[in-house]
Amino acid sequence: MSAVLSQIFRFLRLVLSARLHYIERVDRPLIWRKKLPNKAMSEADRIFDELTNTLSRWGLEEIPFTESASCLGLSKLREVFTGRTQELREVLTLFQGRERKRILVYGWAGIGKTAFILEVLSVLQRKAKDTLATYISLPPKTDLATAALIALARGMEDDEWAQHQLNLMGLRPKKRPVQRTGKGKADILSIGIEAEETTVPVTPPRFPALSFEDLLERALKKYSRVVIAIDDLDKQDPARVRELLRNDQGLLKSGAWFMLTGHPSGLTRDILTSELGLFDLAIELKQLDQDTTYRMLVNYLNSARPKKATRDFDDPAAVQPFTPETACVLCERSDGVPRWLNRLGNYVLLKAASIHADLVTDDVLQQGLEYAAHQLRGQSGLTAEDYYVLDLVLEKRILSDETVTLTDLERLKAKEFSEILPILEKLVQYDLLRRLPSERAAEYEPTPLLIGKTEQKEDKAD
Amino acid sequence: MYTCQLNPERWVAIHNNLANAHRNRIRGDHAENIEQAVFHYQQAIVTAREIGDKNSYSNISLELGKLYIEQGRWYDALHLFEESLAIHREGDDLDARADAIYQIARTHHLIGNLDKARTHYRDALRLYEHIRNQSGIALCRTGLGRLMIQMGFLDDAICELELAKRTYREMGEERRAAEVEEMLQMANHVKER
Repeated sequence: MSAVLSQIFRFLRLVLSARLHYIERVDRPLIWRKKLPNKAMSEADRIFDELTNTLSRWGLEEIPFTESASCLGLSKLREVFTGRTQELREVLTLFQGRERKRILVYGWAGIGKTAFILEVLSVLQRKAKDTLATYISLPPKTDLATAALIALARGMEDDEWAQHQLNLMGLRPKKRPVQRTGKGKADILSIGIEAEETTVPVTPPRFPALSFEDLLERALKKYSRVVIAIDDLDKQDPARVRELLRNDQGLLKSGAWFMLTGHPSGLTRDILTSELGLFDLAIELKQLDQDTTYRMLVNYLNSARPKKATRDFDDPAAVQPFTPETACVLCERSDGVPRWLNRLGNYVLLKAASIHADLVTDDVLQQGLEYAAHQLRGQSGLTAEDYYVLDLVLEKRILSDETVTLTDLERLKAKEFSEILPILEKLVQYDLLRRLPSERAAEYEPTPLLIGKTEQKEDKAD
Repeated sequence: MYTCQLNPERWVAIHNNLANAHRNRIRGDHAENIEQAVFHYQQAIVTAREIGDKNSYSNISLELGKLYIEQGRWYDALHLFEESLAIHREGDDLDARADAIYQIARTHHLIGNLDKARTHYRDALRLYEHIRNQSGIALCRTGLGRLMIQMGFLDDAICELELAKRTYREMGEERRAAEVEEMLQMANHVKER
């Protein structure tokens, strides 16, 4: 009997041990992985750990730079948003008044228009009573009324009609509206009702401006102020934007506040000169000065440090892993354009991490800048045509509709500057070119992100 | 008897001629004449598109676009000019291509798209200079001069208008030269003030 019991216990112990082994390996794989000796680490594990260690030596939890403010959460944006005091004051002063306003924010690509708008909306959400602040990036081939309708409907999460509007447009509402159809069900003992749910078919609004007005009316019953920010108008063809603005003048003069982003020059000037009255305030965001750019760099780095490890601006270690000198060079190269600071910062730190640098010294910075120039030129989405145009601009230093020759254009298999304008604008969006703020001509030059150290020194010597 | 189905090419030509006649007619109500011309151009353009006669289509588009401008239908005109330009870009008729670009510039100028107008005037000017079309050169320089006055670049405006005036004089177009001279005087007057 005891022999039999002993056999049973032995069997049970084996089963239990096998189960524990299974739990360790399958149910809790992370714990299992940590227990593995170093020898069993894969190459990928080793590289990952190395990079984490490098970042940890720099006092960072991650590389903090992003190319667009819309990628940052609102809380992160608050941590990194720097400067623009005068512009914020101008806009926020307007919000102290009762009368609704239309505000145009314009400036170069990457200058921080989106961040500025999001910062204003974030303040309003936190501090202004009864204000509904909504944001949308203008989708391609969409009129302003539809964009405003979508933004407002998304902001009214608890409004069934607003959510229904989203659903009708094929957009995901926060609360999925359903059509309920009653079904009678007779029984000997009881009479029951069966609910049947069907999804509403997608039908875009026929009169978006009117639908918007209706929704705005509902919103204004609940909120004393509705702010609609429509971003990225400057990414569309200027003539089309002008048409959109002209068509939706009524919408812009409705009971909502509007914040729109505009082109850095040209169109904005055209609108402001010929259609005064469409905007109450036009704010141009200019390049940040060197000090503000430096503070922005510190803010970005602090946003990736553990809470207790954040540093003051005056502390030379605030820019670690950069040295104060290389941080200044980085800021100078960014030319006061926040997106360029982000792009360069990102590439320089990636390069520094790949060579296990403890500090971004002069030499490491140069390697990083070269890496950035190389990466920028190799961005996906660039075609052979784009490269031809880029090379021509690099060769001529400045390409303008005034000085370009037919021979230049023929090299690009074109005969008109207008033919290459879309390519030039694309290269601006890729941060390879910038449009100069000239009103006399459409002038484009390479961004400082593309220029190597030696060339820039030569420029200065010139 | 010519019908659209049996002789579409003739149909296009006849409607085009009728449109031209109405457009150039001195007698009668001008607005009505223009309306008639628009009607015939539209008839011609529909058939030209159907039979794939790109050359006629682009030329008639240009003429119809000019009438739309007179009627204040700027965006319709712009659409037609752009279609016409797209066709001319495929061929090697630089004169026609430059004309289409000039019309686009003029339309953008009327709409108030000053930036686009400036670029297109310069594009047309480059082509007119290349083919030595004096009339086109003078037209573009006059347009640029007016545009520069609007944008507040008076020195540039005066420079363009002087060149336009000289070209008109060389061509013997005294009436046009006098018109440009008036603009020049205005620009100089504004500059002095």
